[in-house]
Amino acid sequence: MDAAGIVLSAAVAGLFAGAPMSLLHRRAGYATATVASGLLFAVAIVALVAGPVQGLGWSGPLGDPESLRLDGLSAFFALAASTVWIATSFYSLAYDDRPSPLLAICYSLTLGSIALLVSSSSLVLFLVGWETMTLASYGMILQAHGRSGRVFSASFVFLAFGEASTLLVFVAVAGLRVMTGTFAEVPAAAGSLATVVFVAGLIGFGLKMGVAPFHMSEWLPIAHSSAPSNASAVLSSTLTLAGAYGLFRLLSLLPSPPLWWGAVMLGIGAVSVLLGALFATVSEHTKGLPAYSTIENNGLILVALGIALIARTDGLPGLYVFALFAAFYQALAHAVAKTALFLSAGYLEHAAGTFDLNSLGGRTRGSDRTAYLGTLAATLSLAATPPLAGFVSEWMVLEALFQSYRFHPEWVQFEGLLSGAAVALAAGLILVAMVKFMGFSLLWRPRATAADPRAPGLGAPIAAAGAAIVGVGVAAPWILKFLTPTVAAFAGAPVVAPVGGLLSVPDGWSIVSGSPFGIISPPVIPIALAAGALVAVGYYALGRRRGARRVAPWMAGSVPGLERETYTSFGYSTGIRIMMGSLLQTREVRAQVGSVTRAELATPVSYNVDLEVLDVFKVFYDGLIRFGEGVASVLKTGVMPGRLGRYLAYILIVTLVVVIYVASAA
Amino acid sequence: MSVVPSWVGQSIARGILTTRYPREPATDAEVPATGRPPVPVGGPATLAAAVRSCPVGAISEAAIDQGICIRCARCRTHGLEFAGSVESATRSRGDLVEPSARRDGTPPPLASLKRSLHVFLIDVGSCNACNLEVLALANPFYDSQRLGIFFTNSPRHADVLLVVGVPTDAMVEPLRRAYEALPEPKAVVAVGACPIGGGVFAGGPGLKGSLAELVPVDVFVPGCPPTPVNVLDGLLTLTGRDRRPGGT
Ligand code: SF4
Ligand code: SF4
Repeated sequence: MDAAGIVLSAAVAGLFAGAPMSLLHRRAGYATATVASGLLFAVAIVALVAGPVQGLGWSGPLGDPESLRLDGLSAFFALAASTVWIATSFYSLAYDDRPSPLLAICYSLTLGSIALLVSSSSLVLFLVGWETMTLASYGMILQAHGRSGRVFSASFVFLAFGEASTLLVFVAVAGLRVMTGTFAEVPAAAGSLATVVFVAGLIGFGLKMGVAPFHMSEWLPIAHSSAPSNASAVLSSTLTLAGAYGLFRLLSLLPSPPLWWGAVMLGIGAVSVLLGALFATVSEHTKGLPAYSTIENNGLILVALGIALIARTDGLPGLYVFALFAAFYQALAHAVAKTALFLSAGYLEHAAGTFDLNSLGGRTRGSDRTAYLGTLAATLSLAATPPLAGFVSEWMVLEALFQSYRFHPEWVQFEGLLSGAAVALAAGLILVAMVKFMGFSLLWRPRATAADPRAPGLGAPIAAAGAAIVGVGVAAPWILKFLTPTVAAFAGAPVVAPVGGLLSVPDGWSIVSGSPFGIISPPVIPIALAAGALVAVGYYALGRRRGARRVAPWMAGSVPGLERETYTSFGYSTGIRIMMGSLLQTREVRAQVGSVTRAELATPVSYNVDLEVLDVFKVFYDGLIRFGEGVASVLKTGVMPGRLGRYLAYILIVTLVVVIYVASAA
Repeated sequence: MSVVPSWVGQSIARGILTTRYPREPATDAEVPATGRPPVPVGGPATLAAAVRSCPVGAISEAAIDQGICIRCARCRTHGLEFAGSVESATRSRGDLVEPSARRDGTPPPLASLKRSLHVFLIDVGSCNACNLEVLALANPFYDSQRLGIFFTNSPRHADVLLVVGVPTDAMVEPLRRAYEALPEPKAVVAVGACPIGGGVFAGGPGLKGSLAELVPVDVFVPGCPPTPVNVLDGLLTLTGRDRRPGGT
């Protein structure tokens, strides 16, 4: 074990050690997590630059060697996750003001188990990390303020989905073990079991990524229980990343996928992207909206991955590699942007004391500007604004989709067409959602009175995450080059990053899709923007000298003192609620204000009218739950009513059956 | 199955339906009776008999105040007829009562804009009928674009503030801001009885008496509501492209 290996072991151990440290003081726990995340970040970079890092190893309980290691694939996920954790852990130092250390303990355990599962070389260790992660994150969600029944039921949904996921991942791992004869990560040959492994893995990991139709597992616990913001950021940015890691790892172990695997992933991805964007648009909750956007972003990862698999089967190596790069870059872009957004939601919670965009209205006076810069970067990036990270990733995914015309047979082409349309539509919808978040949290007029507008210590990590978003976006070509070992580890062969140059843009400054199909240069965009801004500023300066008439900007005639007459966040997306009524099941609910006696019937009655939207999948799951409860109650009253006579009868019958069976077999 | 869609043939067969106003006078088919102001057909002397018939007090023994008239037609049984000119817009409030010589030689307020007018419609408290009539200008029949008249979504892009409705207290400030936001040169057109003198709502609570109390008004278009041709005439008056005899 070399120095890097020691650092890796120390980082994973340190993340777990945050839990006992939290018992001393919550801050000690978070500080440990910050430092350990920094170590993990450093060692992940080493692994990407200098090749795989081998850490602590031992012989597992099942006789297989187990060790901590970072190869190209896991180094990427360790890098993305530790970037997120540095910001969230630092943020938690100021954010977590709960008297009990429970949140800090669960937080450290979650981080540690994600680090463990990402860096484990054995599938058993992976499963251990996976299950610890599920339980620890369940503990985090439970720490929501105000322990209502809602918190419990929402976190229970999370746990139920989480355990279902563990079960399926277990099936996938067992299948792999049967196919390869070992728990070590060695590629399995094709076989009939491969299908079982793939389906179980896709659903199991998809549950954690929160893709349709399992997206309830993503938004419900975050939005309904308003889980703590540091927890939301970790859940949304890195727990889903763990799901993505699992999927990538699994697919890298199954090297010859049939065509339909990619097609299924593409389909699921496209539906998730559309649903996530649609529900994000109509969400009024500062955490629900980003949670839905997470579904959209994870859908994009699946879309890119699906395209990659189809391209490989179809013999299109160029597109295969490009789509893989798109998938990894999308994962990275989402992780940094979503972290900033959830941390902002936590800041807003502190500053204005609400999760409701309608009552937020806009930037509260005297609040922290650095925090808002971070929020701005996050929302702009998720709305795919150049030159930010989200723009580059969205461009890459769409570019990959555009090339689906090369697929065979035709039905896959057609699927690519439909998915492309869905992704493009979602890109438009998510723009509305992000403008809404941005506008009603920091641009428009405030409605909420600030609880503590400064919220010291929260602004810096948000701004840092914002800076990371800009950096990841502008430096995209170099980051893609940097990710080459990751893609090579997945593909099992050396690959070349899709970068190049065109016209007078230097070689290596542009991202090239296909050979060449499309090309953009993220670092040139800010240069061009700056040049344009310079022209505008120069013109403005000259114009001022010429004596222009200065008037207040036109804001639809709004005037101070008429705050209640201004546009609400709800009103902003009501058009979509009505247009997409069939998908959203929009319906009008009226609640009479006050009660009217017979004598007053002549006076006008006032109503509160509201538009409600429904998640059709939630309706489905609710039906499933009712069905389960029905079956359980039949069992309870009909089969197991607690009557001694019946139980004795069961025992007698079973004994007889066994005796007859044994006798006939003998 | 023909290659050319049927609507192409139908459109050619039907010919151009767009009004030829202002190149040609407005036909009676284009203007409903209420598009013309009431006038005493038997001469001013007959007005006295009609004074009591008017619900809004627009008729006095000497004259009719077209700015108050809501075109209710009750005076038609007392010797008045909707027989005035379609070109009923005026450049001053006084002209609505005592039609002076319509051309007094002063150049139109937006003479420099000649063939292009961008209009921002602001509703400061209307019953919505005026809005419908104004927006009808954008339909294919009136097709205001052919005359270079366009509606904008922001006063910052407009030359003309077209005001409908009686100014309510809550809209006073937004109205002032919109007026401020208009670039120079600018003009204000008051459309309908409401902004001219309160219309049917005159004297109601929370209302201003007239638009002219708040911003300088350049053109008054009487009616309740005025028809699109009346509004078109009002807008063309701004640049001197209207049909009034004698030219500018
Ligand atoms: S039309 Fe009606 S409002 Fe107008 S003058 Fe005659 S009676 Fe008065
Ligand atoms: S002038 Fe008459 S039609 Fe126009 S807004 Fe007023 S009441 Fe309505």
